[in-house]
Amino acid sequence: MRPLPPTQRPNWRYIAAEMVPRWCPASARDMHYAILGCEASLFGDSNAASMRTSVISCDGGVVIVRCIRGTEDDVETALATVTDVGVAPVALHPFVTSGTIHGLKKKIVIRSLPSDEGNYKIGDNTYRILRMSGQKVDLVQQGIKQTTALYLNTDDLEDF
Amino acid sequence: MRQFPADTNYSFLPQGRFVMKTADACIYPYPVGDASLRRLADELELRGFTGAIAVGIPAGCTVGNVRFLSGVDITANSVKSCRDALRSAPKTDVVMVHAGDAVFNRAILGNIPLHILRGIYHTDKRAFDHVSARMAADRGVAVDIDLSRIISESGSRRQRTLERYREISRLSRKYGFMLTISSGGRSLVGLRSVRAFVLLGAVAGLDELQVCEALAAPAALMSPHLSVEVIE
Repeated sequence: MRPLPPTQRPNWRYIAAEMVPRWCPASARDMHYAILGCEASLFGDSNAASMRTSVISCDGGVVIVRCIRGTEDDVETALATVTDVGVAPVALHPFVTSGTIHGLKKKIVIRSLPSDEGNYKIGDNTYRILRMSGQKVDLVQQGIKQTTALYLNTDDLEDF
Repeated sequence: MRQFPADTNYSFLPQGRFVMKTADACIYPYPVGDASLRRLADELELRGFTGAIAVGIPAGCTVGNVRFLSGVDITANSVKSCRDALRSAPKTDVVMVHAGDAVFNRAILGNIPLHILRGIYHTDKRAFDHVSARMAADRGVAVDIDLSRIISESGSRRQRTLERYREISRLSRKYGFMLTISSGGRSLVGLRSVRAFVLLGAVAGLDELQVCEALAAPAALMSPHLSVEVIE
């Protein structure tokens, strides 16, 4: 089959968004449905359909979203209303937009994943320590129904 | 691309004269929320903020490059209970009172020394009218636009919230009272960037200038323009 000439292809825009917390175990499929749900909820199904949003990748704490050119602001607004993916609470902060994935990936700095540093006990609760970049420390408690987290710094950990 | 800050000194500095150009008007640090003040300061700086009003901290402080004002959040159903709550609350920089019906709103705007009127989204559409708007403008009281209601709600509740916010922004343009914008974040996940504030503000009927003024409003509340007094 002959490929479409460039002039007839849709003009895509690619948005990279930072995921908070970075250790959120969200798959690209779950993220896609969460974003589509937020778009439809905020702008209606008709407008959401015209954005033609899809998730290209979701790993390393960065989500790459594709949409039609001209709808970037609406997609970014919808991304700001994402509060959870599945049962995991998450926030998305778009930080760069580009016309090609290649251009987008040049601007994404790959950072190491949080390191697991054992357990920490506060009262009766035992938390898993996830050390992020710099002085950031996340204390994560994996429950049966939900995951609770405390977002601290190393100084705060000493204060407890 | 934004760079993530490396090791930063998060020592608590003494209160200085800090210009809060962009401030989140209401956040809840630990123990009300689940993120410490230092971590919130880190995140707020990353998202483009220079200040915030934190509910539950004993006093205003500066962490890194972020200035925090202490705030108290009062929910009452009468002026008397509101005054009692204010008397029993610790001394803070910013007093925020939750809005009620029209009579309550006019009464607190006239009798309580408050800075921000919050929770306008759950009031009746006649609760904040042109009379309340004029009183708020005269007394330098700001009305808060809580973005967490747009973010976390959906369906009819979100529609009602947007309708109320659009009405408030229209009244603000007409009568000139201040607006503040808050994320109402109780967690790191609840915080939003300045860019998200502008985009969600547009959904709530605020133009870019209004959003900029609303982001700078917490600093303006701390240094109100006093009305001109004629001395004979």
